[in-house]
Amino acid sequence: MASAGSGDEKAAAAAMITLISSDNEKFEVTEATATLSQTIRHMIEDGCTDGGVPLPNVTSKILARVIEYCKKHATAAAGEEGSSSSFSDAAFLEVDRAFLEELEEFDDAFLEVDRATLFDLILAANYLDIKGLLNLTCQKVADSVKGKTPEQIREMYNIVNDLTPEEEAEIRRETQWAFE
Amino acid sequence: MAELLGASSSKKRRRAGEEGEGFESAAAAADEEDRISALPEDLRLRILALLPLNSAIRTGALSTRWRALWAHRWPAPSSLDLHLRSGDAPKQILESLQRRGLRRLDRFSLTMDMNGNSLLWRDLEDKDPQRFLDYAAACGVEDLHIDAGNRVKSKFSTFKFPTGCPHLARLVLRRIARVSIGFFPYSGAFPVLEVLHLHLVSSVHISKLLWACPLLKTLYLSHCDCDGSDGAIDAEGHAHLRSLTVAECNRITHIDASRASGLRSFRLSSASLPTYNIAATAPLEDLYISLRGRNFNPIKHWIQALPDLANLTVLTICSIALRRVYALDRFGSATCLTKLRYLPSLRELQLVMLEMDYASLAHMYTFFRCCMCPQLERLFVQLVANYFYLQLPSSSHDIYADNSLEVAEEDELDEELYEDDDPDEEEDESVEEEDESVEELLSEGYEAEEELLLEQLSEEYMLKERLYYEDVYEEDLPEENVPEDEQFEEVVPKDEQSEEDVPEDEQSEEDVPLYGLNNLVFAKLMKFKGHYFEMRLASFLLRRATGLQKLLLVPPVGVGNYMEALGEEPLDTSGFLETILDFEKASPDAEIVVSDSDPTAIQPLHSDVF
Repeated sequence: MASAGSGDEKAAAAAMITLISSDNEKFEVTEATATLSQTIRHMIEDGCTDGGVPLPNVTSKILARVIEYCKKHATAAAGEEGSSSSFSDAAFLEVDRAFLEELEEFDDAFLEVDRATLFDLILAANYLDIKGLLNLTCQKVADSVKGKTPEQIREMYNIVNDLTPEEEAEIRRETQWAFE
Repeated sequence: MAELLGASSSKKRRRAGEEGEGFESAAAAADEEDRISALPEDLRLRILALLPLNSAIRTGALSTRWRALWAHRWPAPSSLDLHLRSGDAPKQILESLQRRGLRRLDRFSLTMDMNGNSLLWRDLEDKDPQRFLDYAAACGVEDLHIDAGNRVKSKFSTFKFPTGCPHLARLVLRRIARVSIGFFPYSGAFPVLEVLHLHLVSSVHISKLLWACPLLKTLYLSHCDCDGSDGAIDAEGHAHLRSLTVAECNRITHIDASRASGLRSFRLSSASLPTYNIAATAPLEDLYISLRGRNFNPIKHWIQALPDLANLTVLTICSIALRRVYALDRFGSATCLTKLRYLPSLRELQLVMLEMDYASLAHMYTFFRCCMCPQLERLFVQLVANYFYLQLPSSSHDIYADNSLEVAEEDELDEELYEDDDPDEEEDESVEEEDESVEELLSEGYEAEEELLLEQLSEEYMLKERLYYEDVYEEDLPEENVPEDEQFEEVVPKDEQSEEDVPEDEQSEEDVPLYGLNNLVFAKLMKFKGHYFEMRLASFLLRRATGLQKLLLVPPVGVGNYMEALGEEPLDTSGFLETILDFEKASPDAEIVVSDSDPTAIQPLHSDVF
């Protein structure tokens, strides 16, 4: 990002933010990385990041993963900006596509986590308001549910069925076509 | 939010413990947490919004926390139900839709109430209905219903799918003149469409439509005129097809589902006797074969075209198909009934009787004797639906309740064999002749057997007409008993003889294997009028179903008025009930109920097909 940006952006990139996890671990990140989170962006805009940003809802383990995601995507965002503003020839689009593919591979690999981590990431992405990460993780859950029967979903996610048999039969009857 | 999450997940864990999972190590308990239900509602809605509609709906059956949540996944309103009546201004409605914008739609339903009222036509411009469709398509609708209310005025009820509907999962079209897909290639125009339901569509090119939906699981066609493709439904490419219903689409002559190896449900009701191919490995669970109308030809090879029926749990067949079973049992080769001989999973059987006479009873008994259904629990019999024979001048009281009561008053229904000798003798002769010719014919193979059956049918038909014209019940019944036994030796299959002639105590031993009704707990005779043959059937069931708990007799709706209009007494249900209560019962606990109101709770699975 530093290479693509203007002088101002370089200054912004140089500015470091300290994030503090729930278990009191400190993470130094660039402002460009941190501002992928709308929550942190607002804090920066309000000038209340001195002495670090406490994130009492996010453990160090999860925060490390979130920062990993943000770093990669901050680079991507910067790269994209640079390409679209200054070049439009085919060669550059080729580079662009390669970069997007790489990003997709990164995302796929990033999602190779156990289920508990996945849900922690969803909650963290939601709390930190990181749109890309939230979509990515929710999509992963949605894909795992898609096309499954209620029984399969319950088993997969340990959902206790507290519906009475009559209630369940009624639900199925109401929209029977979706259960066939 | 974290506090909230913490609280709810610990609650969840406790609940899982209570449910009998038992407490293991803390780590194991954490693994078994229901994390997805513990997500805040807005996050669960976000996940639901990423699902296709049918998957989203299924989550509604997970638990109380998921119930109906899916309906809120798009900003309201995401389900639009428009009902246009005369006086409505379609323009204004379209404008308000424009104000809603092109936000996603789960469901869009448009019903135009034409109801013989020309007012709406005036309000409606030619292209208005199409505009509604275009709007729904632009909103990425997933469940689309259009009822144009009239399929004659094609300018208002012609619908064209201008572009593909990439999200459409279910399409229901009713009372529409014409459906077309206005672009090429058609393939994949509805890439995720799983349910296609067409009712009263005047003109539809079904092959093109099928080609457009490669993932189709359910195809339901009812009263449609299908264009092109030589009357064939070619679902050959549809390996995903699970359910196929073709009801009263009489231009369809062939149905090919030979690649649908997952086909579970096949329902065919037609007067034009189409042929069909079903994948030999299809694990059919429910099967409906009804060949209605005045076509007295039996469907050719309806049994041969079926796959293995080991999984079949629900079966409906009409009397014409039953007759085929009867004929094959009597005259066919040993293997031609193999597929029906043993139905190990069958739990529900429905017989649709398009006629109800002596032969029909014989056909039914034959079915019960030669098709073993050890699990059969519920039996539904749809008795003759219409009263066309009531209009025959001399016959009206033949079939009428008080007449069968006369018969029943003899109080020995089992022994009373029926009616006059003339038709029977005639039938005897004809059958005897047939029997002789059968031996020859059998060697000539299957086609000869078909011809034979046709001959026999015309005989049966003649016999039936006679019954209606002649006052057969007024014959002196007791005198008939003696010749009767002899007569029927030729006519009636063996079980029938034992049924009628062998003294009860002799029968009892062979009874149990003779009719596979030992597991039957519930029988319902619908449109029961107390007709002589209906009484015979009731008596048969009571004597043969050793575990029967309830016999429900449902008189036809409004029959009283009809009878009165013809100058007859209204149907007296208490009369025949009294008689039936006196019938011998194999199951002492069997409850016999005559119900005027048809309780919806005990309907056959296939009740929706008509």
